[in-house]
Amino acid sequence: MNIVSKLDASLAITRPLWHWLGQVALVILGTHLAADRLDDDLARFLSNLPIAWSDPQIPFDIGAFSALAIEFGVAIWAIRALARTAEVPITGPRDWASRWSVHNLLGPLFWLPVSLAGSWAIAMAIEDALPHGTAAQVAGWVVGGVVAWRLAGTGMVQLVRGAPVPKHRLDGLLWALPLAVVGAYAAGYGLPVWGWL
Amino acid sequence: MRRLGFLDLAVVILAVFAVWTRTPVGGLGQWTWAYLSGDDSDQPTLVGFFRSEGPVRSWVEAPIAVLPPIGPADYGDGFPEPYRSALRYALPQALPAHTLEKMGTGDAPPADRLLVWLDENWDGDPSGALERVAIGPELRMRAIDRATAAGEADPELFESHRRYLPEQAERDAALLVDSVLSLATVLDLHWPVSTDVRISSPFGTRIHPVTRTEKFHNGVDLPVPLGTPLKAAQSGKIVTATENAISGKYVILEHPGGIRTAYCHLSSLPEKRAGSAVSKGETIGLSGSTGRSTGPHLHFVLRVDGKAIDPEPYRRVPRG
Repeated sequence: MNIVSKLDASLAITRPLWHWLGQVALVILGTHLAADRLDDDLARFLSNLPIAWSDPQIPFDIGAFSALAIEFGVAIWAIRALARTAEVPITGPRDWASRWSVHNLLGPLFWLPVSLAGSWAIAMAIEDALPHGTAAQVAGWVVGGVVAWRLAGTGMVQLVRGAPVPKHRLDGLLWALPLAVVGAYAAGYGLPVWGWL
Repeated sequence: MRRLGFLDLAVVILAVFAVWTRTPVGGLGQWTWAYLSGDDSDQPTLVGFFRSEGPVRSWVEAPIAVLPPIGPADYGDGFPEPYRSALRYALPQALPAHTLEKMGTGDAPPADRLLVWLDENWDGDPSGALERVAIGPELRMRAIDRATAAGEADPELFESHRRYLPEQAERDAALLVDSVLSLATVLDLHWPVSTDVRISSPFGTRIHPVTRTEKFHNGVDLPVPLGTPLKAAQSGKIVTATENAISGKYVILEHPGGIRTAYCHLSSLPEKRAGSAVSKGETIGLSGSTGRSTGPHLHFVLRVDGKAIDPEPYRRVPRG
């Protein structure tokens, strides 16, 4: 038991080296869930425009490649956002307010729904991998919950507590539109709560 | 301090594995890995990770002549026409072998065995019934529950919950549902004018009457007097009702199953706007000779998943 405990402690010490990989992976999963819906909506919107497409497949290709670009862009954003978190954490709401910027405001607002959507994607994958039944459902929810706690939650806390000191308040404005769109899609279609409300 | 080293490592591995197998970012990783390791096997395309709602995955053109005759008895006690005929024609291409095997090994042809099952389990929803055939009721219910939890509108519709199915199940169900629904929609077309009207210019490559050059004719020309009411070929919604220099005044309708019909060279457009619903047989405009045209006629186009197909095999008196 002592050895296991020591191993666990050793692993915990190396956490900064690999924990961010899981946090980013979760954001990528949630973004994919949102982008998978976004590409259909974009294709439908383009198809219904009064444009004579030379090939009717073009709107679908535009939709898919746009979603692809957004997904890769968000992956880069997530890695950068975690890397930018300040070593000196905020001490309270006033300290956070003094570090206010578009990035520091929008980052957590985007992170929360997208990483929770990623947790749900994992929960569904676990459920699909097991024989159909209540046990599979419970296993899915348990694993999804643990993932949300250990990856989505810790990432969220890291982003808020480690809000970097901005060079100017509009820092992060370029990312505002894609993050807002993906975040809204993840909130709207990637959280298993709307049917209960 | 809480340690949780093992737990954190486990969830990180799980999340990274999920990304590796289920997202384009992981697909790029697989490409890179295959390149570096000299593996020349097929890798997934990056856009292939998106499950598309729009296009019909498979389409089998169904000339009426080769379909089994439809007699009154064949209407069955449940699963109705035109889905019965569509199912007969679409099988076995539209049903994966492993699903066919599950239907049992009786002597009757697979379509007959399926139709018996569909009649017995008919609940008024063709796509739901076909989905149950393809993947079974449990997976369908699970996807409906997920779509309901996510707040999808009409979660029981296949289109609303298909993205919540496991990937292989979604592919299997889409193959059967899309094929049969699109085929059924076309089999049940209402010819836009009287079926007695001859076809003056058929579908396919022809010498264009105005430009005198060889050109692909993407529909059929039906010479009808100016002002003839034109009927919607199927229920659906208006995608476009507008005009341009070539097609003149034209209307495009979208129908279930990825089917679109277009009506060109009209003298007047419908009062309804784009997005409005139209019912089968409803007048959607009057014939004319607007745009690039040599005289009053209707240019009628039928598209499946964006691809123009010959509408002539489907010219017949509509079902009662």
